[in-house]
Amino acid sequence: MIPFTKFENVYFTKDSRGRERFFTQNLTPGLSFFEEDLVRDGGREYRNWEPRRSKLCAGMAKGLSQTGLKRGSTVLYLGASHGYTASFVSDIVGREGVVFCLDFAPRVVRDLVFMCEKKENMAPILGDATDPKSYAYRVLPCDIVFQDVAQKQQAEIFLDNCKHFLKPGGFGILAVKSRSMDITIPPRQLYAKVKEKLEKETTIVDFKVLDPFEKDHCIFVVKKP
Amino acid sequence: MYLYSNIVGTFVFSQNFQIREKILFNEKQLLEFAGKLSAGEVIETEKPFLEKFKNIEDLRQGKNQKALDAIAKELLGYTQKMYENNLLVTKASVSLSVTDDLLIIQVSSSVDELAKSINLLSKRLREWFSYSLPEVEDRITDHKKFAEICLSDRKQLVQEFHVQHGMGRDLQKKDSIAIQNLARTILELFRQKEEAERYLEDLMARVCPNMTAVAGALIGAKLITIGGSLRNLVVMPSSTIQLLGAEKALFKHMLNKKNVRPPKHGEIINHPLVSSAPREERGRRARALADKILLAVKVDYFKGQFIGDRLRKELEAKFA
Repeated sequence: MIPFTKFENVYFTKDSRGRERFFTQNLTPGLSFFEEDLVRDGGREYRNWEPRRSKLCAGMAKGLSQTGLKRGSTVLYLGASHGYTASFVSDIVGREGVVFCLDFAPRVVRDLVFMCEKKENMAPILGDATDPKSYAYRVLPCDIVFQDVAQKQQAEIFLDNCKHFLKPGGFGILAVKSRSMDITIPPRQLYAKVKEKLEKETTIVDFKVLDPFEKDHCIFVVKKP
Repeated sequence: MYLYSNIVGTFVFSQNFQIREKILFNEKQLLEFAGKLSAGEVIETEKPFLEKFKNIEDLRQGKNQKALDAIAKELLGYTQKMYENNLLVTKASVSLSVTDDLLIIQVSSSVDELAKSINLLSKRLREWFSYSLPEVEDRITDHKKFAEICLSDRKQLVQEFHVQHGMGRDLQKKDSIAIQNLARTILELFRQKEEAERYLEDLMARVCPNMTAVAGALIGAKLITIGGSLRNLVVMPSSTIQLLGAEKALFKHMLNKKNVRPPKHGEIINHPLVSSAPREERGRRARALADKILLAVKVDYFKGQFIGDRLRKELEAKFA
């Protein structure tokens, strides 16, 4: 198990063919929430993190330079869904950190609650990311805002949330799903448009297209001045 | 002085951002205040402080970002409580999110799936029973009737269907019992499906009486299913309702592959008003029907008076 130098608390292994697998140290040893592999190494337990199921992991696999996620970070996770990626973010920030997981579909939040009951640094919120004021009383100012929502106004929602909850100097991570923004224009053109919007209010740190892990998706890492 | 309330409680901060006073919510207060906090309204526990201290600034207004960042450090001490309370509020709101239209979606999907299962099993039954009496399979097209026939005595059937020089084999008793078991299962599924349909009609009449009057229970339920919820339908334009169920054709058109023409109706093609119309009339009728359905849905969602009959009559008069 080799720790990444650029991503705190994320580990990887390489097999003889050079294929990489990603891991985080399991915060709840013995428990696996999505039937992911649990691997023991040096007296610690690690959970396998698949880039095909998680856009954040895909971004790391594609070689992002940094994400800003650290042990002890306070994270606002918008569009947590069943909590696959969120559970790994929770492993990364550890017990000293906290992840506020927001989603607006009651059905998936139901699953999320079951997980949050076992992972005590994940707080579930049933709320609408387009209306930050409605859940402002439930979160703390954050070091990281992560967003992965399938909405037309993804960029605007992201900037609005960064404005409300991100501390100065904090990082924002935005996974863009081009197909839910506009299916009529090519993804590359759309990324450029999003980039333009983000540049107005933040500094862009990194950008990666997520092919082949996710088709027509990209990921931005930005920093709030 | 600063006043700040969050999911944990109400806090008063001094000028240099130290906690001076605090009221932590108990479970009852929490569930009571959650809605008000979400809407940005003043809550009971804040009122005494607002009266007691002059020059107190309510940080929930969000105008003073610097002060909000400054108090964050103090609030970090309540992370555990924040976790617990978020869990409680989320559980309560998930529980509240279970509405009657979700029941409609489950029943409507269940009816569809029962129908599919019946088809699947009936096909098997037909193949299987035909080793015994292929002459029946050929003449009875109705699945339900066929399953009933499979249960009757072979000799009787031979007479009834005037089978001479039959191609089937008189199976042993053990072998025909296996076939009859499958037939009984199919009949039971038919019974369940009919019961589910009756229940769905009741439910629709109770939850969306107006929509049921205009669109009919089954089509109405289907629209709610595709839309995801009654609320989703309410905020849709009627042109979207017109095309619900025709997404594939619509996106094909929008991507403009091979100059595909736009679809004119989705699920509402099954409505007699549209399906009975001549081809060139259908688009126009689908548009008018979708329009009235949307009006009906809005009345249902906001629990208005019953106007379903009037809407239907207007439609019928228009296309009489």
